[in-house]
Amino acid sequence: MRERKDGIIRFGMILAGAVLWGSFLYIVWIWVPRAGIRYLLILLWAGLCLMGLVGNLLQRRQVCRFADELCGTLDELMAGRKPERYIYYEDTLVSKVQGKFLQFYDLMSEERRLSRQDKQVIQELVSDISHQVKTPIANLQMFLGILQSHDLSEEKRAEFLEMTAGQTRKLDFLMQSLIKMSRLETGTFTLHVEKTDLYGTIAEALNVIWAKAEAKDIRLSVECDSALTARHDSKWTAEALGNLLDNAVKYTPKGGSIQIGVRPWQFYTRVDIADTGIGIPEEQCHQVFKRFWRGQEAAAQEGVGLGLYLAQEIITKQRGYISVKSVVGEGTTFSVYLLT
Amino acid sequence: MEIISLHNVKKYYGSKENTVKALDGIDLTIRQGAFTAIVGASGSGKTTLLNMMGGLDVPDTGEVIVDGVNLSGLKEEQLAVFRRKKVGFIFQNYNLMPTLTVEENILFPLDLDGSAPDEGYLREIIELLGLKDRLTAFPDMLSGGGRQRVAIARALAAKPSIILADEPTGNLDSQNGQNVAGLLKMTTELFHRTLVMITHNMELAQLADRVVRLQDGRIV
Repeated sequence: MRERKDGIIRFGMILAGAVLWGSFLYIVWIWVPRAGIRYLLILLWAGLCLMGLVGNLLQRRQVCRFADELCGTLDELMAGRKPERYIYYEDTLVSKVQGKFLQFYDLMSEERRLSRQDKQVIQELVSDISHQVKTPIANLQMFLGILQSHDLSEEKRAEFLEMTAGQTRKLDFLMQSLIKMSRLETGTFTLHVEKTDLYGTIAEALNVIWAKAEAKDIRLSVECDSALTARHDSKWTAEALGNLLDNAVKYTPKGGSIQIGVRPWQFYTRVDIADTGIGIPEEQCHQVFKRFWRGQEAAAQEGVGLGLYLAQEIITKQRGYISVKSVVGEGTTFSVYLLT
Repeated sequence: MEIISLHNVKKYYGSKENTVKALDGIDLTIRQGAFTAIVGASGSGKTTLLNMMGGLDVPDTGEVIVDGVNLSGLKEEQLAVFRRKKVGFIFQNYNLMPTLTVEENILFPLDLDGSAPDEGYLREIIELLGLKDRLTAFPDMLSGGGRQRVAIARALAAKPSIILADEPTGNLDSQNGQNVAGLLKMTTELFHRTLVMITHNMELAQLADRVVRLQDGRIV
């Protein structure tokens, strides 16, 4: 359709050109009596027409070259490599369009990279899970084997049963953490972030550690205006704060204290969890959030190294962040920043 | 995939016995999409290093390769286009145009480049940075934190792959500093940009995926 239209236009233009030429010649013949001037005018007019024609041809060649360059770029990009002849960062039209193509290409490769990365995360997760589950299962099998095949006194029997129960608890705890982790990592679970009050969330987090803190004679204090709100998912944030509090209780010696303070800021609401525990050396502050990472000082405490990692995942998914300040021997403060 | 790599980069100032080694053999690669914090005492070469990555300074020896292009091979005009397209800068003293409104300041890099703004993208940034109600204000009507948020929006506006921030929280109190650093981290992560930030503050450096320490022009 387009081509036919172009054809009609071209035909029209030739016709118009002929008519213009004809009328020009006619006018010159009638109105210009002196032959010299007459021929000069015709020559000038013809020159003008020629220039227009040449200009047109030149432009057409330029457009062709432009199209060729772009096609070349596209060919190279389709072949999966960055164009060699690409004139980087020139202020020309070709460079500009090529730049856009490249940006688009980068965007696509970025998406490919992200999906590859997601796949890798899942693979690592699976291997981590199987690795972590191995030990308690092996222990369970051993204890059960002993219980089945040996004639044991009632006392010994109870002891092994207790150990079996302990391993089952550990396995259960591990599985719970792993399930939460995989749900967060694989995005099968979405956080319902809404502006709700923080007080209830903190109270829920405290529920988990109340008894443990009491057993260790640790004083808990909370400083939070009950009217304060922040954009967060109450259930999961309580889980994250609970993990941080659980950590605080674990690494704070008997008779210490844990303070929770909330400060509303312009963009973030900051929740501080300050303990008087053993502290974290500065060079490790950055690592504590890594999956299955456990400090050397932490070896005495039971745990699998998932609590802080999970806490950070949960908070980051809500577009917040966690930072940590610590002095070895004096205590640690974890600060959770939630969008106000 | 690495987006920035420096190989044996050296930069000396002065001559003979007065030579100051701003950078003394830096080897560094930065992964695409990562958040890197550069820490170190003043005079350790942090800003010089950042300027090298942004094509604002050239090394005496060694090479700086950004997104596959060796910057020392570029002419001054090409470097200008490179900075416009690839890099977003954030400075300690904001460097906003006082005669332009917040909105005009944010759109400024796009005007320079002559490219059309991506409305949806810009709206999202403006909303995230809490600037929706301040678009018609002038920079001097905003607080320091507010101005830096405008600078973040401006740095992101042209969709550069790299954001270079030189002490973005240096002029802010700790509360505003935390706000700005948090927002900077959040927005760059959200849009998969590579962020390199200089800071004095160790608490803010922790937000990064990786912390690079400089001392006397060397990485320690």
